[in-house]
Amino acid sequence: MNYIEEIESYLRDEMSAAEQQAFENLVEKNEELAKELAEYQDLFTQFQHARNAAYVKKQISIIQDQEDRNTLNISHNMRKSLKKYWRTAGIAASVAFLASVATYFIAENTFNKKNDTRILQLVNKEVRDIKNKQTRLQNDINKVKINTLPNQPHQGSGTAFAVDNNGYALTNLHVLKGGKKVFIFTADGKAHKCKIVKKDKENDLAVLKVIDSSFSFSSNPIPYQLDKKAQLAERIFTLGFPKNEVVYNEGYVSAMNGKSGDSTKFQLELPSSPGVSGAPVLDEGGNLIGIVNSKQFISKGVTYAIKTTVINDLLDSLEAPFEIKWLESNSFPSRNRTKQIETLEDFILMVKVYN
Amino acid sequence: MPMKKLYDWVTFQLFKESMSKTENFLEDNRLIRSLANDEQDAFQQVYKDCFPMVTRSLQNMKAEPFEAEEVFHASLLVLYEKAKQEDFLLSCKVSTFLVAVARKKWLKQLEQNKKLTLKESEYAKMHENDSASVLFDIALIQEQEEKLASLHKALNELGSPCNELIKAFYIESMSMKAIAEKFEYTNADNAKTQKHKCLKRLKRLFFNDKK
Repeated sequence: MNYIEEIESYLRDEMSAAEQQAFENLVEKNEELAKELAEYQDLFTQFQHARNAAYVKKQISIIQDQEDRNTLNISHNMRKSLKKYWRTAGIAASVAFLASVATYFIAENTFNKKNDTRILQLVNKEVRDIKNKQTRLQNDINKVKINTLPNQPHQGSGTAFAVDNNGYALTNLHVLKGGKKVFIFTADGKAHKCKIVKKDKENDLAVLKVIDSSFSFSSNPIPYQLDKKAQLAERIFTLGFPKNEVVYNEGYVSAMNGKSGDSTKFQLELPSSPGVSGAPVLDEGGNLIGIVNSKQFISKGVTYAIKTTVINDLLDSLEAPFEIKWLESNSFPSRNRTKQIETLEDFILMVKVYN
Repeated sequence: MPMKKLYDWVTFQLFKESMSKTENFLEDNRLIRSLANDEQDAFQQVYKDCFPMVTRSLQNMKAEPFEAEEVFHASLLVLYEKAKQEDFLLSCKVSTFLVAVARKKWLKQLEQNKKLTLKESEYAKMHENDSASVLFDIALIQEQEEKLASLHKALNELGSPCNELIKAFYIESMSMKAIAEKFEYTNADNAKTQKHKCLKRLKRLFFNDKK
């Protein structure tokens, strides 16, 4: 029995009235076909729901893209920031005016009238320089505006580390609780607004992306790789932000599983404090072997970390433009710890969440 | 006689109230029709008007901001599907409807994760907005969501290229000709035969999952 074509055109309403009648007669007589038809009908209803869901999802992503673009669109913000920064802009403009007038007078005193054209050129050059400076100033103001921290205390904080030089960073999901606006702080102390591009509730992981698309963590590639598994008794170190500056910590892998046999994590002997959540766990050679997950606090000195396999699964599920570009071998200059840290610092970030 | 007068007065008041009700929600019902006609502006208006109210109300019920956003998005789908039903008529504002759906959804989630004490959940239920709640059945909505999830599960199990083929035709509504080109079939008929085979397998998977 193979009526699939008829069933389909019947359900998709592609039959003529006569065909429809004939098919309905057939169904009436054939119990098996009737059951088959009912099942396909159920399935086709779900297709309709899936189409609706796809439509809603698409509309939502259009709106979210617009919002992202609005925060970044410089020309859109020009008028607004002029309003907000009119004082600065006004002062800059009057300085520009005074400077050109002064240049003119100085020039007039220095040269005689025969040199008029020369003077004019000089003044022109000066004005052009000032104009350029002002454009640059305007761009800076706009950038500052996106990345301006909310004027209120943060709701939560933690650590993140770079997974793609173009502004992608990994952290613990629970770090982001309590607020909507997420900022990361680079080693130079600058704040960068982020959006959350991926959440993994089950494993308590989140991937952040810096909104400014021209941002990159460093001109150097990410020094660590993510393909090594932790080994028992291995010595490890972490860099995290339990306070407003980076804190170094050392320990060792004390068990291969997490709390009550949780195979997605391993156990560290490492003093941990809340802000260290999301910090990378690195082995002696500077290989990344996990991410600190100090949500479950057991006893002092015991910390859990999430395994690289879990992290890799999450990163694999990310869509373009995300692209992992791990180096063939890690680029740490030597086994000298202080030098390793110097290389690392650009890629370890403080996360703060605001309402 | 006074009884008759009182009766008239009451009927008149009720009539007045029902009139003002439909008038108040005329705009909202118009918006719902535009939403059903896939007008992008209508979707954006609903989103922007209701987002703050819905997420705020969820955050008052212990939702994290991103959780609130997720529930809001799921509630938008509920509204959209309702709008697609031709006989659907709002007796409250769009925002009231979305808040009610989102709150119920969130309560269910909290109950499932046992994050809510019984007392709290009773309290929250007591404060449900009834003018909106009569318009939907949360159990039905949940059942529908589970069905859709099992469709996606079946599609996953179907594997490549069957799942892409099915998605392209039945969900993304691509033409058979475009599909034949995209999937590099020699012609549309060939693609159609293949699609029918895939559909049969999908049906089997879908109904096995549900059992």
